Amino acid sequence: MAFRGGWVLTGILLAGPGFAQTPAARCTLAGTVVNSVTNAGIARVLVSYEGASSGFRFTDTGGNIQVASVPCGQYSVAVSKPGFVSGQEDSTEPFLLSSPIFREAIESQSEQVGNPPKPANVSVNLTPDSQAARIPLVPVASITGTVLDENGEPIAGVVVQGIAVKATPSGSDFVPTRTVHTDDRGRYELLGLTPGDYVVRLAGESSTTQYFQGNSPNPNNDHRGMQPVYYSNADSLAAAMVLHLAPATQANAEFRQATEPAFDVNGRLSGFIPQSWIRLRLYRDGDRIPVARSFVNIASGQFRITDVPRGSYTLRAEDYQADPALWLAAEEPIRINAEPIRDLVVQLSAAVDIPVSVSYEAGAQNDEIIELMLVPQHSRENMRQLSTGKLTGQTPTPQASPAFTNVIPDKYKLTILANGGTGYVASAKLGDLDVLHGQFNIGGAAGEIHVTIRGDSASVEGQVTFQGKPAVGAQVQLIPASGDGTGLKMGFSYTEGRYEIQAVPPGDYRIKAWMGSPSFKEILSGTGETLTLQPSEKQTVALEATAAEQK
Amino acid sequence: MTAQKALLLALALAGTPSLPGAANYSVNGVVIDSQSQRPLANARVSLAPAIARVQKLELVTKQDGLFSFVVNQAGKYSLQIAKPGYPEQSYQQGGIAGVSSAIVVRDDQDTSHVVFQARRGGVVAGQIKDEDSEPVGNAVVTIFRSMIVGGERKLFMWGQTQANAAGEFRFPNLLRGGYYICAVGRPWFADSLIYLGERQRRAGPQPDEPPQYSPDPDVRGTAFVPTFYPRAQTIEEAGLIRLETGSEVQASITLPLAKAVTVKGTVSASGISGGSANLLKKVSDQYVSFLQGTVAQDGTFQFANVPAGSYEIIATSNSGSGASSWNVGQEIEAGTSDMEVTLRPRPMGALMGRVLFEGERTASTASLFVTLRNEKGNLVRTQVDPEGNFSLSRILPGRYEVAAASTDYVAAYFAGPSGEHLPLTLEVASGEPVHRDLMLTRAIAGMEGTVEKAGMPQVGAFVLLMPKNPSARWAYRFDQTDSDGSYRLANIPAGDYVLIALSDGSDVVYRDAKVAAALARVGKPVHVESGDHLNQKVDVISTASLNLPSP
Repeated sequence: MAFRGGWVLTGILLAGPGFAQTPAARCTLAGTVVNSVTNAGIARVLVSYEGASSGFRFTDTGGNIQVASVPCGQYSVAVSKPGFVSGQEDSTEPFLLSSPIFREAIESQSEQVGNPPKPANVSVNLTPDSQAARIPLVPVASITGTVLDENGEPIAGVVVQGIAVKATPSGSDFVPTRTVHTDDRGRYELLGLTPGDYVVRLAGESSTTQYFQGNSPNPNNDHRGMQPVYYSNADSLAAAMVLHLAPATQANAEFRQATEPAFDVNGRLSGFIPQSWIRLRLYRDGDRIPVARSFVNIASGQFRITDVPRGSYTLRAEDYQADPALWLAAEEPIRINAEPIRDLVVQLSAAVDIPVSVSYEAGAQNDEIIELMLVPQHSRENMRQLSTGKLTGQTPTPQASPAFTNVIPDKYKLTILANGGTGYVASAKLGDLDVLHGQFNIGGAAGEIHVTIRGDSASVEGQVTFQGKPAVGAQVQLIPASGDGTGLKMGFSYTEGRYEIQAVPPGDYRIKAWMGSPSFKEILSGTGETLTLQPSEKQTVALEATAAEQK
Repeated sequence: MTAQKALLLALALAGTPSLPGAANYSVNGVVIDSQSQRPLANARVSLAPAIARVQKLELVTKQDGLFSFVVNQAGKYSLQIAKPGYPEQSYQQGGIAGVSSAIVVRDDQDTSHVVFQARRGGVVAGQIKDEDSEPVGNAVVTIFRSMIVGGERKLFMWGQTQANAAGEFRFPNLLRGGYYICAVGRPWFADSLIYLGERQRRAGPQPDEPPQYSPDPDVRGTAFVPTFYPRAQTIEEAGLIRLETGSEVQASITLPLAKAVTVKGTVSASGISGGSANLLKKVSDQYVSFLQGTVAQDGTFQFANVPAGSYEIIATSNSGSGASSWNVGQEIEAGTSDMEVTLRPRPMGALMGRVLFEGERTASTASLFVTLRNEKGNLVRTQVDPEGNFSLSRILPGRYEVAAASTDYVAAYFAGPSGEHLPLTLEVASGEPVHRDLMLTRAIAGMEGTVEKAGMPQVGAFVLLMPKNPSARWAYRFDQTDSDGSYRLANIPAGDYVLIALSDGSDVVYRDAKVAAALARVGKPVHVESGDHLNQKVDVISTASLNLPSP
C-alpha cells in the first residue's frame, strides 16, 4: 500500500550556500544531535548518511558525529534513537491530509511497540566551510497510572488505551496509539508517546479473535467485568479529559472503577466457510474500539465471547477466504442485561459488489485517473480501492465495468482523488445518497455509486514571499471554508516564489503559505486570506509566508 | 456439627450464599495472610463441589476475613480464594497447582473453623539493558521454575513477558521457590544496520551508486547474546533466584552485543513442502524461541543476525499428516562466519486403534486418554473419541510405553490378531500408521484411608505409594489428605510398594535412590493385587525429622 513506503522527509536543513562542488573536493560531515527540550547532546543516536558516499555513525556521549574526508556535496541524513521523535508531523502530505483515515493507518503502524524508532530526515549540502549540523530530536512523553476497584484493590490485566486526539476540520479525530494491560499492582504505563493531545480509555478487555479447537477458555475465570470509561470518569470520547503532553512530560491518569458481573455470549456462526479466516468482534454502541475476548472454533463455527459487562453492543463477524477472494459478514445487535446469551445464531451473508460509474461534465475529459477508496469504520484493512477513467501507460487495463467488490456491511467513508487533469469531483452518490461528504451505511444490496467529474475547475497562482523576499519551497495550503476535511489542496513555491494550485472545485476557501512544515493544527487554525473561486476562474493571490511552528 | 445445628447457624447468618436443598451444612472460616497471620479483606472466596466447579458459591470477605457458606449435600468441596497480589489458590495447596486438600462436609466433621492460609505472591522484576546501560525495549524475558514434581527436580518454563519500552519487566504472582530468568532481544538499530550493509553489498561498484561505504568502526555487533541472570549464557551457569512467599526480587540483565552471522538452511527430502523453521535456545529440556522463519516451498530457510552460540533448529511442515508431513531438529553451533546447514527430516510415524473393554460391553470413553512415552520421557497424548477410536500422528519413530486411563479404567494389554495379550510397549516406525487394539480393564486396585497423628486426622499430609522396583516409573501414586485426614489412591498396578505419609511432601525427591531408601526404611510395606481395594491407616511422619539426603 502506498503509505507503507519509506520514511517521510520531515525537514530540510540547509548547511551551506549550495554552490557546485568539484568531485575531488573533500569535506567533513559533522553534526550534533540534541534533545530539543534540554539542548543537551544525545548519546548513541544512529546517524546514517547517503550521498556521494554512504555510511553510519553512532553519536558519542556529547551527541556528536564526525566523518572525515567524504566527498563534498548533497547528503541525506537519517537520525534515530528510541525515546525520541523527529518533532515534525508527517501529516502535511497531501495524500494523507485528504483523509484522516490514512493518517491513522500510518500512525497506528509507526507507533506499534517493537518497530524501530522513526528517523528524522535532514538534507545537508556539504561544503568545505560547512558548520556542524545541529539536529534536534524531541523526547517522547508518557502517561502512567493505576486502576483500582471499588474496594481500592488493584485491578490486574485490564486494558488501558492511549488515544491521540488530532484536529480535523470536522472536529477532533481519535486515533488509538497504544494498548497496554495493567500489572498485578493495577499499574499501567503508556510509554513513548509522540507529544500531543491524548485521551485515555479503560476497558475490561479487548482482543482479536482467538481460535480454539476444544472448548476451554480459562476455567477459573471469575466473570467480572467493568464498564468502559474514559479518563476521568467519562462515558464517551466527547466527554473525555484531553491530556496535553509536552515533550518529555509524564502525565498521570488514575482510574477507580467498580467491577461488576460480566456475562458470556455463546453461539454459532451459520453460513461460514470452515477453516477459513474468521474474526469476531464486539463493539459497544457508539465506540469504534472492540471490547471483550472472543473465541471461535473455525471448524464448527461455535463461538464464545467472554466477560461482557451490561450494555448495548454490535457483534461483527467477518469471514474471509482467499483464492478466489470471498468475504462473508454479519452485524448482530446484542444487549447484555443480567444474564449470559446462549445459542445465538449469527447468520453470515455474502458481501456485496457496488458498481461505480463516472460521468464527465462541463468540459471534463475522461483522460483522468479517478482513484476511489471505500474505507469501513471498523476494520480498516477491509478498505477497497478502485481506479477508473481512461487509463494510460503503465497503469493496468481499464476495468470495463468498475466495481467495489466484496463490500461487507459497515459504516463507510468514500475518498475520491482525481489525478492528472483539470477535473474535480463535483458529486458522488449512492442512489440518492450523497456519499462524498461524511459517513454512510452499507447494509445488504447497495446499488451503484455514481461520480460526477466537472471540468470547470478553478485555479490559484501567485508569488510567495518570506520576510519580503521571494521564497522557494514554501508550502501553500488552500483550505475549504466548510466541509469535512477532504478538500485540502496544497502547492509548493518554486523559482522566484511562484506557486500554482490547479483543479480546484469552485467554492469558498482560505489560503495561506508557510515556510517549513506546518502542523495539521496550524493549517486548520482558521488563519489566512479568504477567497471565493468561481467556476473556471483563475485567481492570482500574492502570499507572505509565515514560519511554521517548530515543536 | 449436626445438620440441624448447621441449619440453625445458617438461619442466623443472613445473606450467606447457599445451594438450595433440604439438609444444610455450613462451611465457615477465615482467610488470613500466611505471613502476617492477619485477616484478609476483599478476598474472593469460592466453594464448589469437587466434581462440579460450575456450581460454585462465592463471596467477598470484609475486614474480618470471615467467610460462611451453606451447602445441602455431604461430600468433598474445593475451597479457593482470589485476591490481587495473591495467586489463585486452593485450600492447603502445595507447590503444584491442583494438589490441595478438599473440605470434607459430613455430619461428623467440623467445617466451621476453617483457616485458609493465603500465600501472598512473590515478584521477580527487573530491567533489561545493553552494555551502554540503555534499556532494551521489547526484550523477551522468560522465567523458569526449578521445582520438584513427581519426586524429581525439573525445570519448567513458567512464564514469558515482553519488556516495556524502558526495558522493564515483571513476573507477579509467583509462589515461593527457585527461579531462573533469561532474556533475548534485538538491538533497535539492528535492522537499519543490516539494511545499510545489505544495500551496499548489492549495489557493488556501479557508477551511479555511492562509491564508499563507511560503517561506524566502533560498532560491536548487531545482535544481543541470549543471557541468563545474572550474566550466563547457559542455564547451568545461571544464578538461581530464591523467592520467598510475598517477596520481590530485582533481577536485571545486561545483554552483550555480538557480531552476528547468517544461518542458511535447506530441508532436504523428496516431495518437500513449505513449513516453519525456528531457531531455538535449548534450556535443559525446554526451548526459548530466538528467531522464527519460514521454510519455502523448495525447502530453503534463513536466519539473519544470529550471534555466536549453540542453538537448535526445529523445522516442521505446514501439513500435519500424510506424505508431505515432516519434522526435523538439529543442533548447530553458530560461529564467526555465515553457515549453511542441511536438515534431513525424519518421516513421522503414527498410531491408530480402538479401545476395548475387557469382559464388558463398551463403556463410556468420556475423559479417556491414550498416552505414549518414550525413553526420554517425551509424551504424546490423545483423547479417545466417542466411538472408542484413537489416533496419534506425527510421532517420532522410536520405542514407546503406552498408557491409558480414565477414572474407572486402566490399560491392560494390546490385543493381538488372535486375541493374545501383547505388552504395553510399541515400536513406532515411519510411514504407515501402526494399528493396535488396546484392552482396558476395570480390575484396578485402589487404596484409601486416613492419615493420623496421635489419633487425630491430619489435613494436608502427603501420602506416597512408592513401588519397590524403582524402574516401574509409572506406578508411583500420591495424594494430599483432605480436611478429614482422608486420602485416596487410584489406578494402582499390582505389585509391592512402600506406603508413607509425610507432613510436607512438596520438596521430597523420592525418585532419588538415597531418598527412596530412606523413605523405605520408615514406610509401611504394602502388597497390591489387581482388583484390591485396600484400606490403610497411616501415621504421619515429620519430613524434617527424616533428614532426607539432598541429591
